[in-house]
Amino acid sequence: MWLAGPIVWALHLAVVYGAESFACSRGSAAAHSVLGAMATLVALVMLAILVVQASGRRRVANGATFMDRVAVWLGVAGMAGVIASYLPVLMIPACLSPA
Amino acid sequence: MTVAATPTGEYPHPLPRPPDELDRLKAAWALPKGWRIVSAVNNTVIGYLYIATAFGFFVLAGILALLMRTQLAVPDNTFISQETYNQLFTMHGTVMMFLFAVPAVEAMGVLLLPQMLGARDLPFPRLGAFAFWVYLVGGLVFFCTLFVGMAPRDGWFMYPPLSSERFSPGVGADFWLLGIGFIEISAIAGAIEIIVGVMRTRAPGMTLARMPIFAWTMLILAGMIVFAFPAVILATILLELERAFGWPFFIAERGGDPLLWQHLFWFFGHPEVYIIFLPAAGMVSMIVPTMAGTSLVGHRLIVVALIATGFFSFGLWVHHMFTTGIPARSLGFFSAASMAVSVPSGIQVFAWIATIAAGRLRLTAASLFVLGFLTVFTLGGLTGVMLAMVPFDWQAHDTYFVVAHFHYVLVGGMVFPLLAAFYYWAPAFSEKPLSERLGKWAFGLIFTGFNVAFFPMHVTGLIGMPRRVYTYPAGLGWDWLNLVSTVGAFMVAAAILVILVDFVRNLRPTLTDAAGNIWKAGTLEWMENHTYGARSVPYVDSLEPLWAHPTMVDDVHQGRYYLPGTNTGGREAIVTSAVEAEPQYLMRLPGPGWAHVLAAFFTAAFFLLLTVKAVTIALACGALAVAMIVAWMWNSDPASVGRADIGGGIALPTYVSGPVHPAWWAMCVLIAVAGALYLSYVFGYLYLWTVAPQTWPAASALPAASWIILAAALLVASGVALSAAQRILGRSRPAFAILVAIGVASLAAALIVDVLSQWRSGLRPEASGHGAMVYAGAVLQAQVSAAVAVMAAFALMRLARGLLDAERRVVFDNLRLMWIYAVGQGLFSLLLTHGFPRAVG
Ligand code: HEM
Ligand SMILES: [Cu+2]
Repeated sequence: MWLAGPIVWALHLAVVYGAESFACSRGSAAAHSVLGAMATLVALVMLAILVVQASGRRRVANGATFMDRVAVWLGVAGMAGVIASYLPVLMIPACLSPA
Repeated sequence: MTVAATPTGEYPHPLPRPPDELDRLKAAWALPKGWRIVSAVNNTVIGYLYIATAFGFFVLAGILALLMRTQLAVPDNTFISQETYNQLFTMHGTVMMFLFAVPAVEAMGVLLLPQMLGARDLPFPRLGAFAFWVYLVGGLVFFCTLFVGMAPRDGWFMYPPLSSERFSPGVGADFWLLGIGFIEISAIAGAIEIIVGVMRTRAPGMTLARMPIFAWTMLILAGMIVFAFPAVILATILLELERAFGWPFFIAERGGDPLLWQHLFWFFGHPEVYIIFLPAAGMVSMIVPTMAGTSLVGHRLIVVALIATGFFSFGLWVHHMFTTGIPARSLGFFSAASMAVSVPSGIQVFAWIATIAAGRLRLTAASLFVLGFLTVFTLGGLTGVMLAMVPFDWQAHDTYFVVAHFHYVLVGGMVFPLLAAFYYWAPAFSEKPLSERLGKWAFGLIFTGFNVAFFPMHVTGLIGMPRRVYTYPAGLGWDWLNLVSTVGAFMVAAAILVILVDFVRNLRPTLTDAAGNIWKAGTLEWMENHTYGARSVPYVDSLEPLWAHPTMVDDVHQGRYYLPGTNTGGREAIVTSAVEAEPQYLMRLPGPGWAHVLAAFFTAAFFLLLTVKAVTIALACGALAVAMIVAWMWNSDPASVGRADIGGGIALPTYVSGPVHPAWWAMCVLIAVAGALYLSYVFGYLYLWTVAPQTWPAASALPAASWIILAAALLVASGVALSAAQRILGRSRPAFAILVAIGVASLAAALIVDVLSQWRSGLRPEASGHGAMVYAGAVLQAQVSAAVAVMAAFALMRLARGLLDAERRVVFDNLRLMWIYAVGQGLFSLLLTHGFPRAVG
């Protein structure tokens, strides 16, 4: 659970990147943009819940409290990462050959 | 009257201690004498050897670099031929990355971690020793291929098609694939040891909040090795299958794709640079507070930044492939991630600077190397952000700009911190500290020399000089820049020479009277450091226990804390809980032995003989290696001897099983490795499908459903036999043995049925990328099934000897974990290779 922030980021990247590879060889480019938006929304909502929950948790044990704080910050980092991964979907058309 | 660090304020043990207590402790941990030291397993001994070996490879690879720089000093030089130059840069890069950088940081972990965590040793001393011997033997043989002209010459990332059988006949590439492939096994063994060590052998009270940053970085490093290395191991397996048997994974005409290699390689290769950098950051995080005389600023934020860096580094690999024609939006994902990852690295740099500013930095040799690290690494990071911009990378790709960039990051981010670490920690392990004067000279030389050598390369690169060229014509404006670079390279060499002289003159490794805490550091590795670590195991209640408790060193030495002797007469370690570090179990550790050393030699022989296609002897060595591993494991599960008193009213069990036992953790990590290997395979399978769907069979050409149902049923039967065996364990030996045998047999039968079905449907591995992938999946399943079979045989042997029952069952627990995984992977494989083509067909 402490690692949820980065894990959600990794899954999100796998979905948006994997879906684009797939969409460009098989499916449709438009589908990719829709999927990207949905995945991003889901990821951000999940992380927001996580951050709120972890920051509200109060425990006495020294190690557990520390890890709760770490989890909050990792959640925030994960959200930043998800947003960074989503920017290209907004800015660059799908399936554009670079050369 | 001093107050103990424990929660009650009382010492766990009264003084004086019984007179023979210390002698018994010493006897339990004594080193073998003379040449028998080879059989030693103490982390300090293995740590010394490990670091010395890694540094030796650094010097060797450095000599190769000097040869290259000599060749490039002037245009049209004929000092070195093109063929040799190709071998040189390949060996230099490979040796630096695989035989120096990764082993060096793991070695620092092996040496420092137990001391720093207040543990007597790492939890699996023989595994650590095994990892070292595999690395030493394998590394030396690999390096020697250079002298007989058989070295690989395809660059350190071995791209096919250049490295394919067609364009690289001969054994050079095989040496790389098999040699490096199995040195990675050693790295993984080290990683398992480190993860379990950091999680489970911390001193009581050292919760995760009080764990030193170095231990955090080692934990993250090991976790990254577990997920990154399998990708390249899979890649090497596939390429070796292609070279040996013609399975076309990377051959485009036959439904493969050379880019698949690049994906797999860089999914490992990019995290690799962070695997190298993170522990270096950990070392710096220990040195800076001591030298500045104040606690690290932003401790928690640094932990967050380290974890984030570790994770994000897995999302960057495509930035090495910007010029391969991947769609623009995908490039965008990885460009964005590449820039984002510089944020956590930046946080760390600012935290160190803030710490330096908050305290008063003593300008020791170690501090100088740290300052050098900060400047050089930061410059490398800046050019990294430049290269993360796709259009810039299109210009600079494969030029000397890139060579400059990665040497700034690698030398700045790893060599400088390592040298700082040598100067800093030497007094903890040597009778004398290293010479400050020589250290400062060395720093001046290497800092100047490095910049003289590598700064001009930014320019040579931007004006067009490609990397990996053995010479260049005059008149392109590259001449004097190259000459300057060569001069700088020799200055670096001079610095290393000074350091070696310093080692010879001052480094006197010792296990009895180290120079000690001359820097007034606050962490536990500065307590006494004998074969058994410190006399007693302290209670830790702060990040810098030695600062918080000035008498701690003395109290520990007198034996006032936990476990001041040995309970059972042998080597022991206190195993604590993962988060709060509460004592849970007194683990008995093995002493010196030969089986693990021989196992290492035979493992090395197995792989190296395969390379030169001496298959029969190779197989014999492989069998011997397995036999040696069995011999080594045989005594690793001693029976309970009741509760053991470690002091302070704590009596720990001397036998546990299930998740409390460190072996359970080790097994889970090993399964994570297997899982990562398999996931890389799934990626490869799906990837080839996206690039060459035409080679995928129509549903009608697939094996009939009845075959699949049979295979799945066999797998399920295997799982049922396992759970029945578990239930009957300790009640009926013959029934247990029969159930295990049936279970293993059905696991094997499932694989055979699956392979037969594919074969009878006409699918051949050489025919297409798809065929190759299907059979490669079978190879992976055969691997885990074989592991289950060997472990089952081991369990049955112990059962027959009465060493396995319902209580004493760690061996069975391990088998069970692996077995469950094997059944799961088998079922998933069926779904993938039979279900997926039907779903999309
Ligand atoms: C400080 C002394 C060093 C010098 C003078 C040096 C010099 C060189 C030279 C001349 C090349 C070949 C460039 C080319 O022809 O393309 C090279 C490549 C390389 N170096 Fe170093 N190097 C040094 C240290 C290191 C270290 C410490 C590492 C890693 C930890 C490293 C990793 C590499 C790698 C990965 C390559 C690429 C090999 C390839 O192209 O396949 N170097 N270096
Ligand atoms: Cu990279």
